[in-house]
Amino acid sequence: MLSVDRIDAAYDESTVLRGVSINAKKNQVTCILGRNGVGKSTLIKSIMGVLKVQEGRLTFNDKDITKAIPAKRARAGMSYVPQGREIFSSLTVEENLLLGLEANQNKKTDIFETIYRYFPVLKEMKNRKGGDLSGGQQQQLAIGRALAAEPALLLLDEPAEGIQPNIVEDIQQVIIDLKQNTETAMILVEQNIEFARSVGDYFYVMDRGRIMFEGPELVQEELEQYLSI
Amino acid sequence: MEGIISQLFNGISLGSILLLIALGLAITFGLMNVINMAHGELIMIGAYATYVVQSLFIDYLPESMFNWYFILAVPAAFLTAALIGWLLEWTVIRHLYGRPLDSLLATFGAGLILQQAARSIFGAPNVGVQSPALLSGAVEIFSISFPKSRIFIILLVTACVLFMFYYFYKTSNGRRIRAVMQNRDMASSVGISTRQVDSTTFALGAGFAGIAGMALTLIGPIGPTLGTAYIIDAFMVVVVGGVGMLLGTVIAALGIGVFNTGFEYFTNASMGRVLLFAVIILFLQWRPNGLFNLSTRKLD
Repeated sequence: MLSVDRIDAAYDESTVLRGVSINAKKNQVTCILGRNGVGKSTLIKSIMGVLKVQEGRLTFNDKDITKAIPAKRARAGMSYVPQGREIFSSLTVEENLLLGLEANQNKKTDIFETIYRYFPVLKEMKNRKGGDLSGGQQQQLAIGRALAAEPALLLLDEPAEGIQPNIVEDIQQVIIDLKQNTETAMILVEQNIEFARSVGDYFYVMDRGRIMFEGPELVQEELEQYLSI
Repeated sequence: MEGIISQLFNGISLGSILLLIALGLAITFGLMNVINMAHGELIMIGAYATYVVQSLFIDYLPESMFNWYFILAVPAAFLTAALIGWLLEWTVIRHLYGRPLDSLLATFGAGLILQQAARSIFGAPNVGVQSPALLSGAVEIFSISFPKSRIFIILLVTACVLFMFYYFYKTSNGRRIRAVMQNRDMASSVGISTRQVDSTTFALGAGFAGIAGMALTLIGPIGPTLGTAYIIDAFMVVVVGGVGMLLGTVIAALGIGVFNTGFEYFTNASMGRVLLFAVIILFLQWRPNGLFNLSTRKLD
């Protein structure tokens, strides 16, 4: 459903992605692994459109979206949980979720019940400012906001980073639940191999802006070569 | 005592006009980081729109109706200024986002064009707008007289500010504006059309400048350079209030209005200005970001 075909992308002058190609399929969790600074977040930003690609093509549901702005991609069914959450901190929790509905064809707030079931703390805090939440709660809000759009493709950039273990488990549970009960395709950028292995269906390993390995299983030798620190 | 109360009233009345002008600036500056030097000309457009409505009433409607022209002048001033503001955004400003200095120069140029256009259409000399009988004269309370036109301006501004708060904090459009203001990329990523938010917000700010122009016709004659006198003070309000913050703008406008008239009352007009600038410079040493600012808690 999403295909990324030999893209190059860069911040300012320095190229950080070189000829990267990946695919994501319905009902699958595609994991992108790699050390710090190898271009994982750059790749996910290029998919969302926050960063423009210089070369290559992006196709989403058989449509060429290489030139589309993020808002258009969002309305076509992509949702993005960025690294560092980027919730709207001066808006309330509920307003953040309402903004998630912007890209949803169905503007009803029924979906909030599902989100509150995943993350009950959001319901308790719904009238508080996003900025008042703890890091873990903000991460739950960022995921909730993305789910409010009922996306066809969910992009998750290190959702487990810097978060207490019980919330990581909650997030893991949500991903598994989405896999079982919906058709959502997911792209998960991770450094945490255990987390990726527990939910992933297909794996890409990146190093220095390139894909070095791909496959449905993580091979131990490959892991050691590109992921050991 | 009476002197002080009427000075305070004058201060609030000046502050309320500043507030109306600064509201528009605060949003465009806060939302888009555009320093709109043509904002003063949008005020001028509102004033001339009022003049046109008044002239139409004199020419085409019976004299008994004349009193009511100012009711119609409010939406006329708002819509004309909003339309021109929207055009300005569409033709010039949208190409210059992220380039504050270029947009400053370009809007300054656009302002000059608008001034010259006003001169060509209405002539260089100032024109007077006749205040309706309803708003001339004064109300006396405890032997202090409050001019009715000033009271009307304060009420008008209060209504505008209340509308603004409602629009910003209670409507879905306001929610989108706040989201874009805070994080443009993320707002786009959730599916908000930032382009549309920019253009409607700019038009809204321009419309409020137009209403300010309408209010100024009640105070004195109007001319093509009407707006330039107010633009400096309006920028001071925005900076002191904190960029992009409605509440800060409200407090700063009233504060600057009251201090300005107060200093002028105790010294003289030019000394009053000097003192006002000195106070603002000291204040900004203490709080460089203004009274309020958007603080965010991202990664912690």
